[in-house]
Amino acid sequence: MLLVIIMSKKNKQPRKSQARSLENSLRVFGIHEKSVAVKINSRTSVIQRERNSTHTLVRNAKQYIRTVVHPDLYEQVLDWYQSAFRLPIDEVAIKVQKSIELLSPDTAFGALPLRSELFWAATMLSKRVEHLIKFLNLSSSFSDAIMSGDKALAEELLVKVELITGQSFWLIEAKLAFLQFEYGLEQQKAYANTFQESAPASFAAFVAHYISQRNEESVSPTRMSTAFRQKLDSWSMASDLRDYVEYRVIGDLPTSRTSLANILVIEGEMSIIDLLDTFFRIATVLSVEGDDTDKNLIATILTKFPKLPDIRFSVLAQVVGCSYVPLPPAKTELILATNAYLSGQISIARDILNGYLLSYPSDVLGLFEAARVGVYFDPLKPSNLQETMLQLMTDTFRRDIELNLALSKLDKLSRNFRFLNIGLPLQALVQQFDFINPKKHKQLETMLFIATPAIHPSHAIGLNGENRSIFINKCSEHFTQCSTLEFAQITIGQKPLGSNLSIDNYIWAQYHFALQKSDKKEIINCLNQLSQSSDSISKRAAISEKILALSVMQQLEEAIKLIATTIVSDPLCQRSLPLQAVFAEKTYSQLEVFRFEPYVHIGLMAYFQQSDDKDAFDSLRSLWDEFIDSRGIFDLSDLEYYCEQFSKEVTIYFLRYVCIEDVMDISTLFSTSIEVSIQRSKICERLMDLDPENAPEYRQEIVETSKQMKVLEGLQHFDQSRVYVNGEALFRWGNRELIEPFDRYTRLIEAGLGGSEEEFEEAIKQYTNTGNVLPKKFLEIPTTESIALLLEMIDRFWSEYRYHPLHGLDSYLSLRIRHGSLSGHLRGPFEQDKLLITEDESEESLNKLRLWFDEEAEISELKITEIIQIFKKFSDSFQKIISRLNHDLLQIRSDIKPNGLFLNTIQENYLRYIKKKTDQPPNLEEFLTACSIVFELVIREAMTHIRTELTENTMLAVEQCVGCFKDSLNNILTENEFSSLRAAISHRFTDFQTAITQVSEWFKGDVRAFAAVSFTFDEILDVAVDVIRRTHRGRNFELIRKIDIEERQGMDVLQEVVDILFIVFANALTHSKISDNLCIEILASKVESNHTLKIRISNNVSPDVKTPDCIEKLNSIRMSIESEEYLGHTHLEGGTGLKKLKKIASAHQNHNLSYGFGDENTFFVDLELAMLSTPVAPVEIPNIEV
Amino acid sequence: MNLLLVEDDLPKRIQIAEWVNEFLPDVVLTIEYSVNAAMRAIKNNLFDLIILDMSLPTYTPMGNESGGRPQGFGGQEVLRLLDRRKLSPVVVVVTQFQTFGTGSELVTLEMLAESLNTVHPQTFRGIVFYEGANGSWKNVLHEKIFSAIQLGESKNEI
Repeated sequence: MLLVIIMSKKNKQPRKSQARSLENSLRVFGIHEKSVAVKINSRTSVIQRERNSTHTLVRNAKQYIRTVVHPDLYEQVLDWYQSAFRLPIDEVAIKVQKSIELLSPDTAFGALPLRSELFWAATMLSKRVEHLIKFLNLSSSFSDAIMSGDKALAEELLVKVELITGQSFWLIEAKLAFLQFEYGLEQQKAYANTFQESAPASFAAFVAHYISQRNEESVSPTRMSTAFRQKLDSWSMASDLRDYVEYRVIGDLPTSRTSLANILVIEGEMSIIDLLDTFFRIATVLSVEGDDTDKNLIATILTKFPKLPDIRFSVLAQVVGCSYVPLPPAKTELILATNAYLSGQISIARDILNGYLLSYPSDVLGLFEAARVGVYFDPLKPSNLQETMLQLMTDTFRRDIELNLALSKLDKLSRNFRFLNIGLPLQALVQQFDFINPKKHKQLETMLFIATPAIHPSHAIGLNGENRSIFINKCSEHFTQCSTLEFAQITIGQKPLGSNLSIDNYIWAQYHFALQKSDKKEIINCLNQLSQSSDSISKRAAISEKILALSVMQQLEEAIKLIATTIVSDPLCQRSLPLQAVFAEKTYSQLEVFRFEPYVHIGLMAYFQQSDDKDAFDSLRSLWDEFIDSRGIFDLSDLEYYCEQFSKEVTIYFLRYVCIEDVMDISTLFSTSIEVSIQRSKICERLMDLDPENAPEYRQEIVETSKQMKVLEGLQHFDQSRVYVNGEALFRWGNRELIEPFDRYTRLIEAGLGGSEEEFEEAIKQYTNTGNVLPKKFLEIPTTESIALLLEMIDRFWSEYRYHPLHGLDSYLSLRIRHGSLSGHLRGPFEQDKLLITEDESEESLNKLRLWFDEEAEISELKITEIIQIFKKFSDSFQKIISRLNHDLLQIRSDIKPNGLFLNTIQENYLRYIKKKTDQPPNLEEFLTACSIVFELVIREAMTHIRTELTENTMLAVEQCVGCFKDSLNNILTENEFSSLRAAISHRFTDFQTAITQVSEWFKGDVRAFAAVSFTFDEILDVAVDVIRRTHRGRNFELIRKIDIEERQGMDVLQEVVDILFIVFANALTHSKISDNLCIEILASKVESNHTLKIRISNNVSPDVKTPDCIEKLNSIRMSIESEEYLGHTHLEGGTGLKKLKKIASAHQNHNLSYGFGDENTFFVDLELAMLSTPVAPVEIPNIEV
Repeated sequence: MNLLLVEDDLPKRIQIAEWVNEFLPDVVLTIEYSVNAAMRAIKNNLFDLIILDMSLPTYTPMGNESGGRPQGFGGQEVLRLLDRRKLSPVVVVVTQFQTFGTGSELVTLEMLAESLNTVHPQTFRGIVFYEGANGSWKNVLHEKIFSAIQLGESKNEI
């Protein structure tokens, strides 16, 4: 290859002598002639084609050196290569990128092993030492400026950085973070957008866009990371580029060595300062988390690394045990502050640190010391970045209820400001609370040590083994004996005389020594002492350390007990406990042994709340079930008696936080969810006695639970009263209309004209067979008048019972079942996933269907047309099944509705029952009651058939319909194309089955009995809203309610209000032309003067709804109502909503109904109804043999 | 031989029960609809074979009970109970879903089978994908159940 470079530079003539000389020189560096020759031969043709580009040739030469030369020799070979060909530095080293477009990853260099890449990166950095020195000086000043809030200086420094080192991601990140923090979202976004304008579709614009997004205040790092990784997964890109992009945008380094190498190799071709930053990060990770080989590698590299004014490299050298630029000693003020802190003089420490941080605003060590001291003082009101970070660090060290919030904010800040020296230790501080890996927990000290820009003895705990001793001995050369040095000396087993350390800090130092020696007994001994400390901060830290230590020592039982008792006694510190170390990935069988005591349950619940680990929650439920079973507990409110051996606090905590419905529903003690709710309420009642301090919370929970149960109860009552007749009104009708014929009947009986039993039998046979009570032929006279009269009265009452336009069965079937409810319930599951399409949706069909297929999937238009046809066919078939139910089956059987399942005929035995009840002696009340009972029994029998029809025939028909739908789609779609759609169809079919089971429950109730229950008006509205939502799935609306009614209402009001709202909502949905922001307002109040209920329901409408046609239609409905013509329409569906409202209102003697447009954008309905609120006890239905 | 069928889906329940009647005519068949009812049955009886749906309601819907919390992986609760009670009947899962969950939590049938096999090796003997319109699931169920029985994993003779 080198030969080819010569050819290109010298008019294609090979200069063999030079080539020979190069080969000889290469041999000096250990490169064999043979390998060079092979490379020359194999690469010649490629390089000749590109010979016009010096840059390409140099790049190829660099790749050759990277591949062939030993990493130790990279720098020498590259130097030689540069001088041999007199190449300018810009050709060999990383260019100073003046243009943003050039900030683009070059993946042509394949990544070498990480070791080689680190050496190569060090070589590249060594070529730009001058730039790096200037940059480091500027960035240090920039850190101080941004931390202290000197905006003008910070901006000026960024400009200088660009002038010297060109474009870099460091610069982009720094400016975005600075703008976001100091000027807010708008300026930050404006800056990010400049990349889109100046370099559209460039890599820099892409990265700037996502970093800008990451910096937004409302974006959480975790969610952003997940979402961005999902995007990366969906884009097809080479793995090395993916690694780099992920690192660049999210900011986390990967764990795989290949990925680290990928990042380095790409970074090595873009910006020198980005390479420096990434090189340092990777070297740090390997030094802190790596093994001895890694540390030796970093030591080897650092030994040869150019001496930069970046103290972090000096500290890194301390960690891996090699020489670099010596560390300066820490400033005297800082040592004095630490002395004061360690000896318990907290106020003095704070005063010194305040001054220190004014002089050194970005000093990492100073910030950490200030945060440790800050926990003993009231929170600050931050005015700049330094104070913001300081306050969050303080909140973290305090380990109280603010911890979660502080950690999440720190996590964000550490990512946004990762270009600052404090970025890494802040990330380590956040990770310290992950507790997944106890080893990681210890890395904060090391990370902090690396970020320490000076020799400071108390942070020697970041070093291990001999390195710590060497470092502390070096410290003693710089400092006279003081608390800080004493602390450090104790951590290596020295025993300084006359220590000034506070007791806690003395024990903490001993603890660090015990850790160093791995002396388990001493570790626990120290932590036991510290756990009793009067200093709550020290105590919390010690308990946390002890739990961690017990977990590492496999003393699980003690660790769990400590967790539970700590949570119970100091709930604020829950978040700071290392629950993950104890519970993460623990299976049920590993925890089973602890199930008989409540500690494991308390610990697991706390862990679940912290981690959302569903496996842990499953284990908790199982352990809880076994706990309850093993103790033979039947009533959990008695649990305290079974927990006598535990403290009262533990029992209270267990009952309060563990015995909740989501846990209890695993138990076979309960057969229904209502039983679980009742049990939870009983527990809360018990807790009010046990824990009176928190009684209001328990009371509130009881109220909430009972409210939910009440709504559920109301829903069930409403559902079971869908098949309904207004028995009371019909009774009144009977008393009014049948009094005269019944009086005649009574007189005939009293006159001995009751007829014989045989005559009665013949008459009822004729009636049941023909439905006819009149004589069969003209001029024929009934043989027994009284019998004919009785049957005639029964028939009239039966007819009213079924067909009365206001109170009869058919009008309620229409109102509560056929008018949208049944259809809504059964179509809802499929509509929710847009599996049903209608003829008039052709335009939308395509868009709907597209949702089911991957954007990338290439589905031909022809196929789409076929798919639409299949959807339409399914929709039609499904609708036919629903229509058959609505129009044919759920009807009263008649000549017009011959398939109606509500039969017309009354069995003979029922007629005998009525006669028997009526004639002892004849009594109209008895007659009407007997008729009502019989009619209800007839309807109940019909309902049994309907339930069978729904759960068997309809279910089967829909199953077949869905089966055909799936088969048809399966025939034209590939497995990949069909998978998500098939899953949706299956899911929705299951939902449909649930829906049809619920619908079948409507046909299970008592058709006329009112249960003796009562509801608040709010509860009634909750029930109504639930009914509406279940019927109109996927349609959102806002409900505003202003209720001024205190009295509880009976089932009748519940039914009426639900009916009214259902109609108004259906009208609003159909006619308002508002799809997304439908808002319904309900005002309800009581008019004391006439004891009526006043309800106004209004909804917004689109301005184009109020048309002359629409107004005319409303007028025509008004006329129909005024002329009572509407009574003939109340059993029909379609365009009869307002007439049905009138039907409801007219059940009240004093009622008022008005409706219309309030203005262009509002439609209202006003109703005034008499209050009906006396709960009525249900009538017992006897068992009559048929 | 005692067989427990845990299935809330009516057509599926009917078809599986018909299959049981045809191929395992002498078994004592108990049918339950929910996680709670299945767990109750397991605590009170000894089963040799369990045919289990994966997605189940918590409680059996009846009367005032609407079913409680629907559990996408309710079948796993039943398997966990068997493990903790050290019971080891043959368990075959029959499901009509090819995927469970959504987004990052999406689990395919294969992934679920692998996970159940790892977590419940004592009981779990495979998953059958049920398609009402297609009878091939019966062959798979037949193969899984009879191969387990022939391996002598059930306690009693048929």
